[in-house]
Amino acid sequence: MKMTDETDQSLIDALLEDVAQHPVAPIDAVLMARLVEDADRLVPRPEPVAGAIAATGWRGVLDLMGGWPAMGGLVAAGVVGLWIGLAPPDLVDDAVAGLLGGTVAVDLTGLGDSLGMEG
Amino acid sequence: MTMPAQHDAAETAQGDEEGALLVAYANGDPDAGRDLTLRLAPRILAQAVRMLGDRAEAEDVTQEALIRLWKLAPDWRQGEARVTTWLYRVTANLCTDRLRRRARAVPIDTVAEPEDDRPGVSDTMMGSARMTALAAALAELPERQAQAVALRHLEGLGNPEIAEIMDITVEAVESLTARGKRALAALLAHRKAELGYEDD
Repeated sequence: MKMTDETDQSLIDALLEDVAQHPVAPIDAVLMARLVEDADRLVPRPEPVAGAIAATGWRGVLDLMGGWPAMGGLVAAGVVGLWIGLAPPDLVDDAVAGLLGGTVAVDLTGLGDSLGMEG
Repeated sequence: MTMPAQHDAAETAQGDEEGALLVAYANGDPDAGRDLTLRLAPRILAQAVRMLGDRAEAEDVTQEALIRLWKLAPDWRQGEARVTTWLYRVTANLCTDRLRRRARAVPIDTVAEPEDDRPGVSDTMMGSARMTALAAALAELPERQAQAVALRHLEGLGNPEIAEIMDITVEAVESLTARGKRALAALLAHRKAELGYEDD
C-alpha cells in the first residue's frame, strides 16, 4: 500500500514537472494589441488638485476670493468704511472720546472742510 | 550562478520598478501602461496556461487580470506590495474560478483522452494531454489546495512567497501543498498509462 502511494506521488511529481516545463507560445500580435488597447482605454485621468485656481487673470483672482457674492460684501464694507472715515457719526466720536478721553481732529489732506461735511 | 540574495535583490528592484510604472500609469501616463503590459502579460499568460491547460481561456484570464490591475491603479500604494505578487493572486483566483465552473460542467472522468496512440505520437500532443489531465484534476481540488500546488510546483515559487500571495502562514502553505498533491495522486492514479508514465 505504501509502495502504491509512493508510486502515485512520483507520478504526480513527474506530471507537475512536465507541465511546468511545457513551453508556452509567446503572445501573438493581435492579443498584445488588444491588451495595450485596454491599458490605453483605462488610463486614469487625474482630477485637478482641489483649491487650484481654475481660471487665470482677473477672473482667477475673483474665483480665489470667493466669486461675485464675496466681492459684493467686500465692496459694501469698503463703502461703509469710507463713509465712516469721511463723516463719522456722533456715535463714533462719542465712543472714541470715551475710549481715549478726548478727540483730536487732524487734517492730513490740507484741504480743510472743503466738502462742508462738518457743518 | 546567481546567489539567492542577489536574486532577491534583483526581484525587489524589478518589483519597485513595476510599482513605479503603475503609479505613473495611475497619474495618467499611457506609456507606463504599455510598458507594464509588455512586461507582465507573458507571465500571466504562462501561469494561466499551466493551470488551465487551455490557451484561449488563458488569454481571457490574461486580459481580465490586466484590466483589474488598471482599475486598481489609482488606489495602488507603492511599497506595500509587489505588482507581481498581486498578479499571481488574481491570476490564480481567476483560474480556479474557471476550473470550478469547468468541473461543474464536465466531470473529470469525461475529459477527453488522447486519441492518437500510434508510435511516434508527438511530445506536444502528450504534453497537451498531460496539461489537460492536470487541469481537470486541479478543478476537483478545494480552491486553496489547487492554488498552493500550482504556485509551488507549476510556477516554482518558494513557500514564503506563496504565503504572501495567499495571505496565509508558511506552515499552511506546506499543509495545503501536501494535501493537494495527495488528492491529485488519488484522482490521477488510474490514468498513469494513458499519460505515459506507466514505465516510470
